[in-house]
Amino acid sequence: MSKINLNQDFNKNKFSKFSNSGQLFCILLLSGAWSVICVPALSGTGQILGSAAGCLMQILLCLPMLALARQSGSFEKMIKSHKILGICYILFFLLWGAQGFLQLWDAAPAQLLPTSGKFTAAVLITLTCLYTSSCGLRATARSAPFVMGLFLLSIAVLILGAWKRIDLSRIDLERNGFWDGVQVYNSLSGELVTAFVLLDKAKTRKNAAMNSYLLSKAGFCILILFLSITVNGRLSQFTDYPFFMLTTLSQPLQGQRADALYILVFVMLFILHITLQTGVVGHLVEVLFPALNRYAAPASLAGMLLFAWFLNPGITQGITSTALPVLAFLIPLFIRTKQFAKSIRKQNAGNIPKQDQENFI
Amino acid sequence: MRNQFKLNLKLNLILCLYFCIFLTGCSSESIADRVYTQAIGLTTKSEKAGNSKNPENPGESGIFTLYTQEFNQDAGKSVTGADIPEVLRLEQAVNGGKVFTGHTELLCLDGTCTLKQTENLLLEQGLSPACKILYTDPAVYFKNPDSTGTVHMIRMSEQNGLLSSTELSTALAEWQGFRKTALIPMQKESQDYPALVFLHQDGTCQELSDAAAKGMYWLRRNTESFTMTLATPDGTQNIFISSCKLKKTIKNQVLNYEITIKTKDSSPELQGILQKEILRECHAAVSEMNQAKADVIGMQDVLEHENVNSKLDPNIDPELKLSVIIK
Repeated sequence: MSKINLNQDFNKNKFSKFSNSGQLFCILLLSGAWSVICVPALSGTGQILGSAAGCLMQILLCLPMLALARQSGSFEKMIKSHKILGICYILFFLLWGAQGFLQLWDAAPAQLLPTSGKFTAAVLITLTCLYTSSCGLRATARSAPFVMGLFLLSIAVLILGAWKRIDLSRIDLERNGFWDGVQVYNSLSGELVTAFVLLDKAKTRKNAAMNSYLLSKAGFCILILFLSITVNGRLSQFTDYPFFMLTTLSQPLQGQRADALYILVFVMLFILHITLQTGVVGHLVEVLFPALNRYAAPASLAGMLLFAWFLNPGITQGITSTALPVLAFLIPLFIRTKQFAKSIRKQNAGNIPKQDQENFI
Repeated sequence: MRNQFKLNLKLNLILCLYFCIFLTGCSSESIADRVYTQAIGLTTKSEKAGNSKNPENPGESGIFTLYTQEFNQDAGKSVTGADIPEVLRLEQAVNGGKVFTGHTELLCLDGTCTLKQTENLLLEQGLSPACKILYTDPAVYFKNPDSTGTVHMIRMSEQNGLLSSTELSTALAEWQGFRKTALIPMQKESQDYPALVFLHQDGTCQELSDAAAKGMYWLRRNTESFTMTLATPDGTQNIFISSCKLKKTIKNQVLNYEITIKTKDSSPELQGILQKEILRECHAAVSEMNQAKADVIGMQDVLEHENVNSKLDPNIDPELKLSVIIK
């Protein structure tokens, strides 16, 4: 009897509440880090300030979703009553995942995928994604702290290798690239929508996890831009993706190259990024169409690949960056306003839910 | 239930096999199948003809000759092909293994191959960015190569204030600059330590005098501590330089390079002699650099910093003021 219960729990709780806010922080930061390492060409030192401004904007954009997250399940109720909204979120995650695949194909230089070819490497990574997505979001969340350890190690190695090559004279306080910085930072923040869905299910300390994630991602982005400008210098002209030039230049040890570490982190960040999107799609499908739950994860991966195959990067990026403020800011704001209006109506009817009034921003 | 268990077991076994075969290095070639090059040389110069196929466009039309020396081997090998990927493929056949250039310490160039080819070596072939470049004829050097000795000599000269620090990444950045000229060491028979040359992207080069080469040491970057020998009226004297900081600014379109040097246990007279000596070397360096129409001291970065783009004309020498402060 107990065995049957365990099996049932396993199937049912593939997406369950995160056991702590640390896992939520790790999974969001690592997914965001993937976007940061795929930042396209630098447009000036103003991009650093632009990214900081983009981070401040995102903190403001997150206020409605944080207010809404205080009442777990609000988003679930909303998409159950408005299925089309849930489908919009699913489409966004599929497109966001597709953009990840396009970034992998476009950004990964030959030396970062050193198997028998770029295609073979991409197929192997996709097969691994298929396996990890079938394990569910819970397993992904549990593995995130381990990947985070490796990620921090690679950052330390990157800084150590780049340290001697930093030339501060390349930094000039000009406004060139400021708006590019704001735009790029915001367009590469699709995980904010993921955060909105996850916050609905997270247990405690949601604000702390979100604040830490937003600040750490901004810190990481600023660090990469700073190192790319001060270390790469004119060599940035040779590549479309400054991070990969940075890893080429950042070799702290003479007798040992750090490429293996960068390859490992690069692949792990991608797998985690895609698994997170498939997991969230799986959860939304479970809520909207419980009968299709079993095939949601592999189907979502296939959907991402199809979008990546048929759409060009400009279209996916255009759609996702337009949909981002709507799905991460306007809809949470709408749901929260609706809740507040409902509580006001109840208050007028004589029933006063004080907590609702205090929670509203 | 039992069938479910069997299915799970099979799936797990397939997964284990997948991880072991495809996601580990076991399926890759063994270490014995790889050739680790310590030094490589690249030229389009024909060994028989003795000059480049197309001096106007170095490396454009030529037949590339790639010279390699493996670690712990005294002899060099060479192959000839139409482009770098082809010579590397041929090199694999000659050396009997896949050529890995990630640990290569020395790159020998003779001016027939510059920006385009070295960029390919860095980005496509994974050549180490810290790889030292030597201006020499690879055909002569690889007849009896001593890469370990050459690399150590360059490093020691850099650490002892005799040679400015140079490597592949700095040379590439300099070739990309507005004057398209890089500073590169060369071996000189009449001198115990390497000399320096300005190597232009088109392959032309100009050797620096001894004073100018020393001046470059002060003008290129902050340096570490070392002991310097100075000629004084009482004979030679040693002075310990504990640090050297370079500050680059621009005022009224005039570049200011301020060198601040901290010394240990030195008299004011000795400091005065040191100041004069460094100024003399720096002036020699700037004069020869302008003569060669080169920018190897980061003038472009400072000018771009202040948006003085009018001075970024390769034919106009930016006005430069030098000052040395001894503490």
